[in-house]
Amino acid sequence: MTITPSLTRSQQTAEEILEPTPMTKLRRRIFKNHSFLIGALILLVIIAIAVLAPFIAPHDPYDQDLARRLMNPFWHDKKTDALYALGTDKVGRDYLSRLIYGAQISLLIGFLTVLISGIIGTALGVIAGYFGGRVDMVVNFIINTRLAMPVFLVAMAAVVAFGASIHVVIMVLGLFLWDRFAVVMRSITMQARDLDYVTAARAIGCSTPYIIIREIFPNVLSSLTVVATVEMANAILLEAALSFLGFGVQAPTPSWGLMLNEGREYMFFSPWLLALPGTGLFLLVLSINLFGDGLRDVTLERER
Amino acid sequence: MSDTMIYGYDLVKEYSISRGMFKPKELLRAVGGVTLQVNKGEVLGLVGESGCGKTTLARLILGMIPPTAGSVEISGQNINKLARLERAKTIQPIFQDPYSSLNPSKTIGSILTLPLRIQRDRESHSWEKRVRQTMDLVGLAQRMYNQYPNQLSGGQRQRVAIARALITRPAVVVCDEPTSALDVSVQSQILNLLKDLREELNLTYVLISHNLAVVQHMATRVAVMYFGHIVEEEKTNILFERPKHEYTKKLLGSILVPDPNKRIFNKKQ
Amino acid sequence: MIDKKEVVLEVKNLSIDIPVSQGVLHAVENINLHVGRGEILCVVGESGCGKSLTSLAIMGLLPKNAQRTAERLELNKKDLQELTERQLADIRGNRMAMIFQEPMTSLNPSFTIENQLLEPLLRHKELSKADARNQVIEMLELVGIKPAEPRLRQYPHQLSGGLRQRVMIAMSLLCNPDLIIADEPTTALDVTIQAQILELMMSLQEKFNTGILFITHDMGVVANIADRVAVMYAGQIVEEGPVSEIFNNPAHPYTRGLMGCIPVPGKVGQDNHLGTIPGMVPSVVNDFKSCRFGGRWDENYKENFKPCRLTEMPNSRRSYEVNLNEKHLVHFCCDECLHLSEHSLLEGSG
Repeated sequence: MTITPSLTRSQQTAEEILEPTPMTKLRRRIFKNHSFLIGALILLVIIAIAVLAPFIAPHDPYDQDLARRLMNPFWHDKKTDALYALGTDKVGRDYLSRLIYGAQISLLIGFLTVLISGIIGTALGVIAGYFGGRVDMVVNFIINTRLAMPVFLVAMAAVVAFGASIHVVIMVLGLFLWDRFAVVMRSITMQARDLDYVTAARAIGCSTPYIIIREIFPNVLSSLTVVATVEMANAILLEAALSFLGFGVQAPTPSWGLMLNEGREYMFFSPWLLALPGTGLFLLVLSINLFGDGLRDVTLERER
Repeated sequence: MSDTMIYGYDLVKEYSISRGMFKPKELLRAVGGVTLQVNKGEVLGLVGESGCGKTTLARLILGMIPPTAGSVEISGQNINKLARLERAKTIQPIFQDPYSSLNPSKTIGSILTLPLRIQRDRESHSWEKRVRQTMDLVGLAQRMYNQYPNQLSGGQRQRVAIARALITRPAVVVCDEPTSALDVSVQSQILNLLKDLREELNLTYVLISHNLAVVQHMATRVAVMYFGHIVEEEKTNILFERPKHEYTKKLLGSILVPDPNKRIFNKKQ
Repeated sequence: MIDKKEVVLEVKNLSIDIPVSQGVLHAVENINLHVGRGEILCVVGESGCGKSLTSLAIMGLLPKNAQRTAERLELNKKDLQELTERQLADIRGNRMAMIFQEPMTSLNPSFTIENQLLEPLLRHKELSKADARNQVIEMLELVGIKPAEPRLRQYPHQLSGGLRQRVMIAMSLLCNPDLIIADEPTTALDVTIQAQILELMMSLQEKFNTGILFITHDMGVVANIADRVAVMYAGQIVEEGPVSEIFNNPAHPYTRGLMGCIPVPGKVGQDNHLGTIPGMVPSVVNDFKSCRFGGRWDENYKENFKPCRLTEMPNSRRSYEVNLNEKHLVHFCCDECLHLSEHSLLEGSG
């Protein structure tokens, strides 16, 4: 065997092969994660539809015209008026417009509920996790008390007491869906509290609020978003269920749950009255869940 | 005699362990009456087995936890009565694991600027300059200013942790196992660095380690802890040559010297 | 004294490749090892040098995506590469056993000590339960757990770290294996307990005449227990030889650097600095063509080199294996490393 003389030392040391920054790594993982991308795409489309509803809806969703009641959608027979692509409901309102505005209601309820419950749950959880001891005991007691109350029954009772409206639904759901936030935030904060860099922050004189907000909160943010997506899907389904039962959003507001209820009578003759809002709900919840799952995978820092 | 830097008097730390809501609490005495004094410029080595209370003692000295009884004075001031920012300027910790001691989402530059920002240092225009000077001091390349902790090796991260501790120029540094998560070749670099810094900045160290060879190399005085008490305290060379307490003898008898001619086990034939 | 002994483990040209996002990581490259009966071979190296992967490769326990290739991988002259998973399982815990760093994770928390110790005996040996139980008790007493009976009903979490490691040692010795692979078994223990455990391992090894492949990063441990030492660096064994040779005449610059890094009382005074190895371990991804030790030379080693007799190492690109004497081998990854170390080689052989 011949020996080639040694070449000049090309110093391919580890210093030159630089690890990507956390942001670059995150971006790379996002583009590798298909469920995240698909979920985000569908969700974005639904959000766009909801936001742009006044511009893209062909009709006023409240505009009744009994002469045009129960028109068939375009695939059913060719005689359908092109202006009512998805037909009309039992009082002659354009179904497409109602679906579009329904997305608004679902998303509004999802966002607001998660906002309220997220703030309550995160505050309780982070405080319990950071301070521990007595504070933790009290928060745990509150969580357990909350878990002992069935959301649905309380929601129905609240509707009976305060009257059914979108505000009541949002308040009730917001005040009741924070338990998971609190439990998850509490355990993550507990872990983060004992990390050396949190202790180091205390040692360099950071105040407790500063540590919680600047050192611990960024750590819990990804888990927070994941819980938020789960709860959002949950809230949207609960709203639909409440509205379906007549305890939620009231007619004539175009809520998908309410539309399911209204279409119930025509289930056998005009099945699309059920199928369309059902599909809307399905797509929205699916995309939120895909998005949440993907987000978890994307943000999950691999153990060294 | 030089001036006293750290004076811990009759320090006790008890933890109450809850065994359930209705059961009485159990008291765990992590540190049971420790008195210690460290003079300016000294390196006090603190040795003992895991669970003997050395880390708790370190946190007491740092003022991170209040003592159940007794007090700690740093340069004559009670550490627990000192304002947060004052305390931070007096005493700083260095931790064992350089992977968890740096916030992964911040750049090295912002990690090192934080102490200055927290201290509300007036000359904000000089922050970057001072951070870069400190990076020089601990042997970090300037390009790392904008890098993230995950882009650095273990040894470099430990240098960042040391720089963070030193940027406010504290008088005392408490090093809790500063090299036990590092490889030997990196360990020697960090130990050399700590030695240089001590001379350059006139620092006082409390060095906690289970590695007796490291303590012997670094410390001027050694305190041996056993079940929450300091059982023996002596100048390093005296302690290693003539240990008095039974436990110290046992500890020293367990040192494995990296020299095949000095084996402590009876070798087979 | 060792050559005459029967070889228990023989590894030749073992390589481990792991696919990573940037290509292929050559975690271990063409290493040769052998362990004789009743011999302790210490593999030392820093984190990431491939020492733990080597032990897993021998046990056949590599992660699924890792690729193992070897010219020879023999336990008692029996090729381990040809065995099926089932046959391998019969050998593991029986003819070769492994002791891990953290016994808490290698003992099953939901079974009693008795259950876990009986399992290998009942699986590998045709013993009645009563006989097996007696053997377990005997073995526990041998590893210093006395009385053993009450411990049998305990769960791993009820034992201290030292006791758990003793249980692991008892478990590994139960079937009287030919080879024990110990991966940093004392790193998680306190120094006093570490000394006890090592002493125990040495006395039992002598009693049972077992070969031990001991993986560690602690030079103190190596000096105290090893018969022979293999120094690993960046996936290769750079130097191998009897423990006294390695400590007294280290020839490879890496070994020399490593020795200089350790604080040894009496050798390095308090006022002196410890030695260092400049630079960092290179990443061994893809075709790694440059020198593994590039940029890591201590300036002291570059001076005064003289020509020296070499033996080429076939089957490898531009790397050299130098026999200082029969047992002391030094491996250089490139010409330059070799040339730069010639003066130290001369010292070593002379």
